[in-house]
Parts: sequence; structure tokens; C-alpha cells
Amino acid sequence: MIHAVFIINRSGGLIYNKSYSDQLAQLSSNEALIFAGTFHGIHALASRISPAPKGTSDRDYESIDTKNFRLHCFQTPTGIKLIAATDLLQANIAEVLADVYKLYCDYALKNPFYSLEMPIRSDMFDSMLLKLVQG
Amino acid sequence: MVLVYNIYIFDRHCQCIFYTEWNRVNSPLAADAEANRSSKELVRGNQVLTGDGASSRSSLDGQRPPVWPTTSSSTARRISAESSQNTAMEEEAKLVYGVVYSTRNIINKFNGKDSPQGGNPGGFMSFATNTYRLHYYEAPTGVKFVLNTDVNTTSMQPVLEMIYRNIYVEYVVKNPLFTIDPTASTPIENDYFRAVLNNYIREISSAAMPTA
Amino acid sequence: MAQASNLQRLDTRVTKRSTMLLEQSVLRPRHDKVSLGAFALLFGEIIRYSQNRVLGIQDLEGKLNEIGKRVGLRVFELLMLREKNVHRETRVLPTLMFINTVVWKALFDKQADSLGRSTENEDEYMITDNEPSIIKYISVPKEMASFSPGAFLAGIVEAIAESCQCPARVTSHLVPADGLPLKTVILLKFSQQVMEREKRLDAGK
Repeated sequence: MIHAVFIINRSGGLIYNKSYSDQLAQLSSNEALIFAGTFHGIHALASRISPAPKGTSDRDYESIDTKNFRLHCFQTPTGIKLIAATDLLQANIAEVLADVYKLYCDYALKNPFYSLEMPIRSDMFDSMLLKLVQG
Repeated sequence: MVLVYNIYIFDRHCQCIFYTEWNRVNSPLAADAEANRSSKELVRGNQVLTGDGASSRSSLDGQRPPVWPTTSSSTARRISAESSQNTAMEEEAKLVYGVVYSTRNIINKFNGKDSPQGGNPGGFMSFATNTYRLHYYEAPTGVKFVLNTDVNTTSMQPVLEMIYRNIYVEYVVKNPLFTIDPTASTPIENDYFRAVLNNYIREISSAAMPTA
Repeated sequence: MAQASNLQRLDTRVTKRSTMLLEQSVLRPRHDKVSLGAFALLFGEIIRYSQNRVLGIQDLEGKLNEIGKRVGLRVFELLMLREKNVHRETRVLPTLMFINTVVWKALFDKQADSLGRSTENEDEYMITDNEPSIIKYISVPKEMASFSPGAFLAGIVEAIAESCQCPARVTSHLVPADGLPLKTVILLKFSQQVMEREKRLDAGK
């Protein structure tokens, strides 16, 4: 089950934020912005403190495990971070995030009223994402 | 099979009071040792740090892994006295602390349990990147354990709890020579603790742990 | 040598069955698809470009309508060229049927979803498309709620109606329905002289 979806742009700004369940605390818009910035920072630092040799894998996928939920992050080759908060049972989240990326390309980028790097305000994107999240 | 890279222990003052590593190739410790050797001759007890990764790789074969802060009291004093002079190792410890601290805080936010006292009510356990997984355990007293392993090792919570309960408490806290100063950080310079920790990590590294 | 063979290819491109999309004969269309994504990006850019050069929503729709007209004229020409039995409609109903089926099929590979006559005014007809593919990715922002990106389609229809001797004023309207957020109605209001001509022709039967 997916609790929430976030999209963070190249510079760490939150451009999409939608909650789909009440199992996680609702972040205020300010808190959500702080979350995006913090996550952006953590993501950048996490690779600097890596003790492991450089991996060969080209996927850029991260997850944070906690007692109650899991945060998954897929970074596109262009530097956009797609983040999903799920419960611990959710499987195949990588595919779901790849689908979110597809929706972003279709309903945000191809919408003439969308400006790059800005918050996504698109009814079509909202409804398609809702359909995707509800499976 | 668990591949353990390194462990950091942070006290309540956000200071790294202990660090040691196994199987690590890109260690800043080696860089520090290199820098130190060129500036001044350091006597390091029975331990010699070499600039290449050979010593750390062979560390599981009975040899002691490198630790930080080192036993050489000069270095230990240096972190408290001249903390303005950052070594690569210090720098890294700060980054690691920053990462786990921020991660813990955003997770607490999601759980709506953002307390000014900190703590880990949100239950942050680990995060994984492409190359490694960082495991986090925070004791009720605010001592934080950070352990890095390979990506596929999912749950190290019991291991970290074990390290806290049966190694840290037993060999550090119960050691009468370990002075806990509530206002300042005391690095762990306890050989017995190191030896036990090293043995324990070697044990779990070779044991075939059921991976999820 | 290479140049010579290139020239030769140019020369024979109409007769030879080429696999290249751009080298195909206009007469015998093969069912090659144009990427909707590429079109959506281009169309989006047309809207954005127009938006920077207009004062209001009506102005913007007018601009899109104009561009649609240019496309419509060419589409009509092409369809006439491809039509097996050359036959141009001049009456209102056959013209509408022509747009509803032949034109829509050529443009979107499907027929329009419905064709109807307004109950209020007898000179108004409506063509409905439940999901116009050209506006598939467009979400109209709330502050522009009255804007219908289908104005481009309206322009195409207007040009074709005019070419069939049935000039009409054509507008498009976004009428979201359940599950069909992009349902678009294209409203044709035929000019008075067309309606009078229709009446005379019907009476003369």
C-alpha cells in the first residue's frame, strides 16, 4: 500500500506531494518543503560517505526502512527524485516508480501549461497517478 | 554472509567516540595516517596504519582492524583540543552524523512524533543506496550506533542491539576507568572493547545469516 | 558515386516502395503511425508559443483555430487526392458525415464518437469526440477553465466545411463527463445562406 508520493526537482524543491492514506502524519506544506530539501541533502551525502567500492549498477534507487513504513526513492537520469512512502508489505515499488516517471513525462512535460522545475498542477496527472496508486 | 564495512558510535554530544572498519577500500583513516606521517612522527603503540587498503582487507585474518580515535593519546587529545583542525576522518564522521540525524528527524515527522528531545520514536532502522546499507540504532540514552554493510543484509537491528547491550555496556560503561563526563565527549580507548567487538563482527561476518 | 545513387533514389521515390516514412507516396498511404508523444510536444509548444502572443483566452483559441484552418485545407486536398471516386460533398449532412467518418479516420484512425443536431437552433450541429488524442496530455489550469485546446480541431473542421461550400462558424468546447475528462464538442453554426440554400434544395426535390 502506498501512503504518499513526492517528486523533488533537480535543485531539491518539492514539485509534487500527495498523500493517499492517513497512516502517516500529514505534513504541512512547510514541513513537506523541509522534507524535500533534507532528503535532497541526505541523498547527496549518502554517496559521499559510502564505505563500499563504486557499484556497477546503473539504477539509482534508494530506500529507507523504518519500523512502520518504508521510503523508496528512484532518481531519474535527469536528476528528478520520485519518492514513495509505502507500508512494509508493498512489493514491486521500483516498477511503480518507473510508471510514475512515465506519467510525469506524459502528463507534466507534455502539458503546455507546465513549466519545468515548477510544481505540477495537472488534473490529468492527479487522476492518472491516483489510478496507478490504487492499482 | 554479511559484509560489514565499518561502525561508528556517536555519543549524546554528536561526537564520534569510536570508529573501526573492516573490508573498506576508500578509507579516510589511511589518508589521515598518510598526512600525519608526513607532518610528524607518531608513535602508535603496537599498531601501524599503512596507506594502502591491504591492511584493512586482511583485517579479518586475525589482525586488528584500524580504529579511530587511535590509542596514541596525542590523537585522542587532538580531537577535543584542536577540533578546528579537521582531518578527513573527522569530516566523514560529521557527515555520517548529519545524514542519520536528518534522516531520523524526517522519519519522526512522518510519524507525527517530532519531539524536541530527539530520540528515535519513528523507528528509523536503515537506508540503502546502490552500494551499501546503513543500519542505525539509537540507545535510550542517546548513544547512536551506525553500521554499514552490503546492500542485501536487511536487518542488523538485533546485531546492533547486541553490540549496545552486551559489548558497549559491558566493556565500556562498566569499565571503571571509563569516565563519563556529562558535558564533554570521551573517546573509547578500550582495547578489551575493541577486541570483543572485532571478534563479534568476525563471527557474524562468517556466519551464514538468513537474508531476507 | 554516392551522390548519384542519392539522386536516383529521389527520382524513384514515388514508384519504389520505400520503407522510409518520408519517402512514401502520398497517393497510397500505408498505415504508419506518427508518434503521439512527438505530436504532443509539438502541439504543446504551439500552444505555449501562441499563449505568449495573445491577450486572452478567446484570442488564444482564435489563434489555434487559424492554425487548424491551415491544416484543414491541406487535409482536405489530400483526402480528395486519395479518394477513389472523386466526389466532393456540397450538402450539409453529407459534409458532416464526411467530416465525422472520412476526415476523422484519416486524422485519428477512428470515427468521431457522435454527430448530432442542436435542439435549440436548427443551423447548429455538433461533432463529439470523447477522447481527442491530440489533447490527451493537456490539463487546462483552473484560471483558464473556459479554454478549449480543441480549438485547433475546430479550425480543421471549419476549413473543410468551407471547402465543401458549407461555410460555418466552428467553435470547440470542453465538456468533461464522468471518466472522460477531455470530452470535446465541436459546434458548427452554418451561415444563413447555407441554410437557405438547403431549404431551396429540399423544396425542389
